Amino acid sequence: MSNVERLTGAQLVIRLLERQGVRVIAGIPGSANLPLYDALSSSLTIRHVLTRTEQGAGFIAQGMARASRQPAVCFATSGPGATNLLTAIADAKLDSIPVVAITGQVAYASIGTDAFQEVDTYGLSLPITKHNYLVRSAAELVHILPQAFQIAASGRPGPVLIDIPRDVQLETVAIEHWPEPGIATTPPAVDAALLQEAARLVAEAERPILYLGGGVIQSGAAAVAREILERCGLPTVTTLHALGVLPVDHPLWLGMLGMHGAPCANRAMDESDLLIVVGARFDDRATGKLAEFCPHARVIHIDIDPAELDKLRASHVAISGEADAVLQQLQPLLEPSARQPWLARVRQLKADWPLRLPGAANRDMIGV
Amino acid sequence: MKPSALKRIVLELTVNNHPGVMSHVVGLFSRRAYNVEGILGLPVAGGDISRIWLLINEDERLPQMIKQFEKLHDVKRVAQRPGERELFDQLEALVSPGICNEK
Repeated sequence: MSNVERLTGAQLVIRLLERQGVRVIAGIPGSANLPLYDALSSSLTIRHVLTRTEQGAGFIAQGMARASRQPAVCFATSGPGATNLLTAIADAKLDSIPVVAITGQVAYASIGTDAFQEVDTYGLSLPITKHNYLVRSAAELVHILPQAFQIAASGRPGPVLIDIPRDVQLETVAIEHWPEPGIATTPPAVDAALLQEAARLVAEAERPILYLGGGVIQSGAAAVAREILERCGLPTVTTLHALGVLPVDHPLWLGMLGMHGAPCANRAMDESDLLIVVGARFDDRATGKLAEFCPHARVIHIDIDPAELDKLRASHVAISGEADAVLQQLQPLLEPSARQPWLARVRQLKADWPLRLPGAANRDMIGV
Repeated sequence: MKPSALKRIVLELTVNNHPGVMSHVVGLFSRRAYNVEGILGLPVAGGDISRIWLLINEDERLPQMIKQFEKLHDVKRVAQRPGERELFDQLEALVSPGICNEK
C-alpha cells in the first residue's frame, strides 16, 4: 500500500500549518483565498479568528508571535485584503517579529492582466518583508511553507509573505514525503576573543551604562542580563521594546532612554564612558542627534544582525550573536564590581531628574 | 562632490534565478536613493542560479549595502570586483550617441 496522498494546494497549506504547530489563524476570507478557507474548515486543530479588517489580523498575528516568540499566521485575500495587511507587515519588519502572512492571489494565468482584485502583492510586500514568495505550483508549497517559518524565526526574526494564486490552491498534487516543520537555525558561534575584549572594556570602565533593546526580550536574555547588571553594578536603560526586562522599582534601572525616556537616563548616558548595547539598533528616537549621543562613551555592540553593527554608531567591540547566548558566555568573564562613585552619581541624577507624570505629585515613576 | 567624481566599482552577485530576484536587489538601492549606473545579468550553472554585475558609485553606504545583500535569502554570494570595469566599458561602446532620442 502506498503512502501517497492526493491533496489540493489549499489542503496542503493547512496540513503544513498543522504540522508546524499553528493553532490560531487570524484573517478574512475573500474570493481569491476561499479554497484555503474551505480547507481550513476541515481542520480539527486550527481555530480561525475573523477580524474586521486585515490590518487587525496582521496585528493579532504579531501579538501572538510577540507573546509566544514563535511565528504566527494571518490570512488575507488578494487586492484590498493584501493592501490592508501591509501596515501590520511593515511594523513586524521594523520590530523584528516573526509573522507568516498568507495571501490569496488571482489565478496564475491572470497575473499581470489587471484582473478583479489583482494587485502586485509580491512587489508591494518586497521591501517590508524579510522574504516573500509568489507560489507558481502546488508542489512548491511543500518546501516553501517550512522554509517561510524557518526564515521568519531565524537570526533576526521578521515577517514572510506567501502569495498563492487561486488556481494553485485548487491544483491537486501527490504527496509522498512530508517535510520537517521549519524551525529557527542555530546562530553562529561567538568569537571568544571578542568576548574577552568586551570583558576588558567593562572592567576598565568607570561610568558604564547597559543599553538593552528588543533583542533581549526576543532571545529570552532578561534573566542573564539582570544577573550581569547586578553583579557588575551597571546602571541600565531600556528601549521601548525592552520594557519589562527589569521591574520599574529596580534600583539600577533608569527607565527608557531617548526622546520619550526619563531625563535621568539621558543625563547618565551623556556622562557615561562605556555603552554596552544589547539587542538594540541606535534608533533615532533613542539617540537624538547621533553626533552628540554619548560623546564620551566607548561602545560594545551585541546584535544578532551583522548589518546593525557599525551602521549608525561605530563600535569598539562588535559581537554578532543572539543576546542570550552572548550574555551567557560573557557573564563568567565579568568581574564583580561595586562602582560606588558612579552609582552614587546615578542615584543623584535619579533624584534630580526623575520621570514624573503631571498630577502624580512627587510620585517617581522610577524607583530610586 | 559630483557623481562623476566618485570612484566606480563593480559588485558581483550570485543569486537564485527566478522572477523577483532582480526586484529584491535593485530595491535595496532605490529605497536608499542610491543610483545603479549599470546592470548586467546572466543565468549560470544550468539556469538555477544567475550572476548579476552592478556598476555603482562607491560611497560611504557601500559597506551597509553589502551587508544588506548578504541578508537577502536569494543572494548566495556578494563580491567586490575592482577589475571588472572592462565589462561595462565594452558595453558602453555598443551604446551609440543617438540612442537617447529613439522614443
